Amino acid sequence: MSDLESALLAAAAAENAAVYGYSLAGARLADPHQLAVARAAYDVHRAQVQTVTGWLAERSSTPAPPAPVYDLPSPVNDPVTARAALAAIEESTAAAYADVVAAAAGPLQRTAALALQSAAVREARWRTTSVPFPGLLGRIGS
Amino acid sequence: MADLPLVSRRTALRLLIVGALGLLTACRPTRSPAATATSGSTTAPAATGPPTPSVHGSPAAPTKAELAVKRAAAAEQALLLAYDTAVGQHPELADRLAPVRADHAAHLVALTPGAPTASASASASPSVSPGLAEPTSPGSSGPPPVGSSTNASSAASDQLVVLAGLVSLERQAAAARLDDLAATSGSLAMVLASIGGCEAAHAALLAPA
Repeated sequence: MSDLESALLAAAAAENAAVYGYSLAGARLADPHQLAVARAAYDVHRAQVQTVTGWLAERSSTPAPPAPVYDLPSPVNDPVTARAALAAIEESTAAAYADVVAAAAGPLQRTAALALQSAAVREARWRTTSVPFPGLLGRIGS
Repeated sequence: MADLPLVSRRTALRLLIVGALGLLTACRPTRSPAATATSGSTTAPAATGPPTPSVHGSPAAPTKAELAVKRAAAAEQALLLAYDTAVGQHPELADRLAPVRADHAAHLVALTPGAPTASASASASPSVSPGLAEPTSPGSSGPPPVGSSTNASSAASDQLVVLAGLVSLERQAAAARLDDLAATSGSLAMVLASIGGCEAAHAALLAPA
């Protein structure tokens, strides 16, 4: 399997996990504005599952179906912990797209970098602050 | 989170970048035949392979990927200056802008292999050169206007203009990193994409809600 195909499969899995995470953690938010933001992000991740699945189909590959349950990155029991989990979910999707950027070229590389930017924006909104290297946090030991 | 014992975050990241840059320079001819002929065997480092025929014209022409890194580093320097200027004009923004500026300093360090780690933050003092001030603050260096209420409201609106300028710069930077990374691959592409993501996030956080 090529690096690009495995990166795309990982991106599909990250997007499925994000859809699951938003459906659970998003429901624990209290502020109506934040709920609306979470719903919009949920829709984005659902659409990205389809987008990444399309990229894989162009390469004669199929992602694994969504799992019934995913581990949330951190326990969620109130709006504060929900925001922390949603930020971590976005960091995970940014990381998955970083791997696609590394392995791809041309329009797909650029589109993946744009998806990383979108995830970084959502991550920063949940954190209310930015991180210097979104998508690279896990692999640089922070 | 996974942890890397013995290696700090920053060091690990710089290794990532330096590795990527090292790959770049290893892939192109480092010495033209003419240079090899004139310098003889005096200074060629042991690691240098056989001289590559210079088919690409100028021997030290940087690759597209090296140019992309240079552009990104120059952009980070310009952003640092823009934040210093903004804080110089509006010290009340210092707390809000400090973490954003710190991100850009980290980007610059990552994009400048071999530079002392402190260099990007050493210029943190708001020694703003007046000539580079944003073109949006007439009278900020002159005597304060009289009339306290209009003064306060114009200062507030001027602050909004400064923030809007920074948002615009961050958006441009995020878009430019998308262009830059097209010439790159692997960990270097990943780092440029991540820097662009950070800049897109800055624009979102600094933009009015």
